Amino acid sequence: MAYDPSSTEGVPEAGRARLQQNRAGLFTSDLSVNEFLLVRQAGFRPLGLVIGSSIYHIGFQQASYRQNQEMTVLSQAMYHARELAMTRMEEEADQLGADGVVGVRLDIGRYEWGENLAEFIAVGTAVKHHGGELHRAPSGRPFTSDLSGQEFWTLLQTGHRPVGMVMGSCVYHVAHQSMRQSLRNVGQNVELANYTQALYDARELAMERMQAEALEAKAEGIVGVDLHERSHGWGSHVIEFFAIGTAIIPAEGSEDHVIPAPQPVLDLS
Amino acid sequence: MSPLFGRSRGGGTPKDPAQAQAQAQRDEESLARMQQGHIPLNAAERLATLADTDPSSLAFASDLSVQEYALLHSLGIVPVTLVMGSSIYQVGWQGTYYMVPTEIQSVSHAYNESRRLALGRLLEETTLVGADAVVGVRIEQGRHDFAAGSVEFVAIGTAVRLPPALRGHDGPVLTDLEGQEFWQLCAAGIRPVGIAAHTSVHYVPASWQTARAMGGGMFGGSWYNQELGDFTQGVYDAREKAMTYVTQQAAALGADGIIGVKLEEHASGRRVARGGIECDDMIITFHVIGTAVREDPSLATDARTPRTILSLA
Repeated sequence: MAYDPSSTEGVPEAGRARLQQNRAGLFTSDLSVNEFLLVRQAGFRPLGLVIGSSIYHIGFQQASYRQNQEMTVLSQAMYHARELAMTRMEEEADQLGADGVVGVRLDIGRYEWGENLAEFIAVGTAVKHHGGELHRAPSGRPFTSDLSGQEFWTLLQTGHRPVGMVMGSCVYHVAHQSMRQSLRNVGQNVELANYTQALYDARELAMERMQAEALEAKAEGIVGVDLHERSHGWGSHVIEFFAIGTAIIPAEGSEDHVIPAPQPVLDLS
Repeated sequence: MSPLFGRSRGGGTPKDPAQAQAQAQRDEESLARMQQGHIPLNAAERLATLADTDPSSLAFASDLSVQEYALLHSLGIVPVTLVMGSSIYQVGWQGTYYMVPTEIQSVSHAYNESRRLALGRLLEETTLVGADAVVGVRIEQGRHDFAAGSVEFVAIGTAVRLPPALRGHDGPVLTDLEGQEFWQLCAAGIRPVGIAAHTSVHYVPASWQTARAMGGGMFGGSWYNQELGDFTQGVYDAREKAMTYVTQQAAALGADGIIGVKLEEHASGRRVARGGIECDDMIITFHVIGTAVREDPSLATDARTPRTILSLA
């Protein structure tokens, strides 16, 4: 989807009024006290809580019973809906003139009453640097990061900065075992090679897609990668592998940066 | 008042008529106070005894953890007592359904009034004991079988007396911060000024397209991926309304920001038949709550640089 930073499509009247208030100087943020103080310490001030969401109807795809295969319709749905939520969040951040968004949470909500219905929601705190140093991603979009305030502060101490959240998703159908296979394996310790292979495939596809996104963002690396396997109510043989992390680049002028040595402490609690 | 009422209390033993009448009078008075949004007599009297006492000689009640208490003690913050406020509110909504996206005013109103009354009573208790702040306020929703279809909010926290340097200028302040967080903010030159919260409940009817995608017809749901624009818009409307009110409340408290915002969302489906097609409409509830803060140059700030540590635990 083409990115248009000036668009406020879908933000209702009340939302524009809220962003207006935020622009006038009253910030909102879901950071805890510690996170808030650390983000300030790092030279950023919060501008407002920014949110993007989309309620999405996930289509249907027939998998063949005995074949390992990616469910492309479902993969696409997960991609598209997350993209909608993230882009809307970034649009709000752009409206506020933010450098980026910290503490992003990307959640999927499902309702028991709506089968095939999922709500994708992205929430984070838009921040701007005090000194006006430009911290946007090379593409000009506000940076996004799912690091907590503490992690964000620590990352900046290492002379790096986040460019954006990168993700990869793969919805995969794991083939059922044939009757012959199951009979042959009765009572035996054996590796279920086709299952192992299916999970490998799915995981590798998800990781590869995440890395491709990071390459595109010209990142140096990805930190805080979370890789999980989830099922979204498609039955036990259809799973989603989802990889998400924060892509980082070296901060400008950080070539001779020295990382301060941590001090060991013994916690008495 | 029914004669049974007086009897069932006190184990049924007949009392001295004068005493019983005094009790009945107290009950009436308590009820009248509640109707005006105040706290009952018993609570007021208990708290009034705490107000005069010298804090150093006081046996206090608090829900602080040991560590929290130790820290507060070393900072000169003295806990006074556990304070609370609560309110059960009847929801007037009759379960009608709407053809256009609408805020269900009566439900939103019930949540907001209930919370306002509960927080008001919490503040009243705090004022009565002469405390300067309430820390660690938990606002919880209750649900009772005997009051089906009503909403309840209970707010509980620890009232504390602050050292003169931290004291606010206009009355006690409610925060949902822990004691440590309260002090940390003050040390950074930021003063918490209150709690801002709002609930909005919206009804979003399913459009024809949504109904078809979700499988109203005989073929089940649609095979195609698609965003449900009407529901998405409904969620946006409800959320933005709640957030806008919270922002306004914070502005009214003289804050220049809100931290620790919590968004809580509940969506439920409601099966209706519209134009011969069965579909699910959506009822969406958003609770938004946060702590309003203001930068205060009068607070002595000690600028401390955080240090990176390696925990050996």
